[in-house]
Amino acid sequence: MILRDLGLAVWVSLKTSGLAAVIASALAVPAALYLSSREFRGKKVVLAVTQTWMAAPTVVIGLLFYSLLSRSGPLGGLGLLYTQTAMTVGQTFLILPLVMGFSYTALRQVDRRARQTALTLGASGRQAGWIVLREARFPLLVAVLAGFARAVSEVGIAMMLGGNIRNATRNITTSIALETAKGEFRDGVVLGLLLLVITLGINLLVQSGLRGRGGDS
Amino acid sequence: MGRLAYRLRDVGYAYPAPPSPFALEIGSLDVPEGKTLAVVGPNGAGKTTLLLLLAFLVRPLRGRIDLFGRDAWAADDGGAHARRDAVLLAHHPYLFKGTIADNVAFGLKVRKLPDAEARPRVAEALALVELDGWGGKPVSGLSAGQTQRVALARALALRPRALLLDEPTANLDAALGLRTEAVLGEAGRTWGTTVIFSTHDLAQASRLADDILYLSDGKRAERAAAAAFPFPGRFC
Repeated sequence: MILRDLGLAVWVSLKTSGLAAVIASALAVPAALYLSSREFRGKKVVLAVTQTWMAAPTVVIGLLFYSLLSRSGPLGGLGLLYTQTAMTVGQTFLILPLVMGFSYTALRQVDRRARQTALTLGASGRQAGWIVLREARFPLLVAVLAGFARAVSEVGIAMMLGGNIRNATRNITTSIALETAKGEFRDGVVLGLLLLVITLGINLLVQSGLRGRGGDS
Repeated sequence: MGRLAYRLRDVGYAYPAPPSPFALEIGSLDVPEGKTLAVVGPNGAGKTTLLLLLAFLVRPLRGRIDLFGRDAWAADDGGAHARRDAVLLAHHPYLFKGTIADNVAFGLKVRKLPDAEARPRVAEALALVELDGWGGKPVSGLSAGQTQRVALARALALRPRALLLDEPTANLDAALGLRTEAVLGEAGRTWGTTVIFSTHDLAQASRLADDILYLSDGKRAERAAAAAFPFPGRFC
């Protein structure tokens, strides 16, 4: 595998999975905040669906979106199949329940007095919500990073929705699959290690950034 | 009687879910501005629930609570406006992660007070609870008594018009409890703060309060001037 191809594959992985993590977090964290602070009919069903969804195989999600985005599918007119956008959409759908489930757990563990204290000190409901998020920032960060890790390491969605097109949608995991299929096991292992190193680097970077903002873990 | 800080009429509240079938019913309660009211009664009498209602942290199921002449729940803001005037210090106060100064400054930041004004207010509040120079310390590792004092400083920094305290000296030793009482008295005199606190200590209630309200089974059982309050001895 030539260096340029490797660089592009890394870039595609970071871009698609990073975007998926950002989008999923933007949807899942507010939803988790709502779920953790309110009691309503059907809440247990929402949580059960979320937990079940976490176990969905990537290839099933890939298949679902493939059927939606393929030329004959209801969203075929968008022309998204075999694009990085399709990969991001699929990965977002994959990690949404994971980020939401972890965020829900993180927010449930915040002392319930935090919100009430913020309110009595004059915070608005929205500000009190931010306080609860701030109190849970480290476990929430773990939720987001876990989502990213899941997205960047999956292969089923990337293969089915991206198509493993060289210099376009080929990422690290589809490159590993390709090298393995070619019998280049050594290259596959090296790519796998590279993926781990990149994920480790991002974890360290984000965590040190948060510590620099005065947080404690 | 001067202006009223609180005026309650036919206020009812009940906890919605089992296991607690508790309900609080207050037919009428007036608290004049600048006065100190002690709320006493046995465990489960409704003292904390009453304070939560007065702090506008729970909404009564029926009735009306006026704060400084305004129906606090009439404005469709979930009680937010009223909460700017009435601050509750909980029995087991919660401190946000960060430093002591961050915590004491919290309410001032929410009110968008400029740093130049907030800093001396924080220092003054910490001095009141004898924690001068502690501002930079993290809150992790504070004792229960220190936590209580930081929370009190956080409330005092706001110079609230109404200060509500749920057993404010329960976590403090006797000497510190007396000093805290002095601080509360000082707040009333200096800023005209209306102070309402719950306690199991009748001696404290009579030392600190102008009036004493005795709750029993969620109802107002008795109210009298502290000097004239009968000491039934049945709820100490």
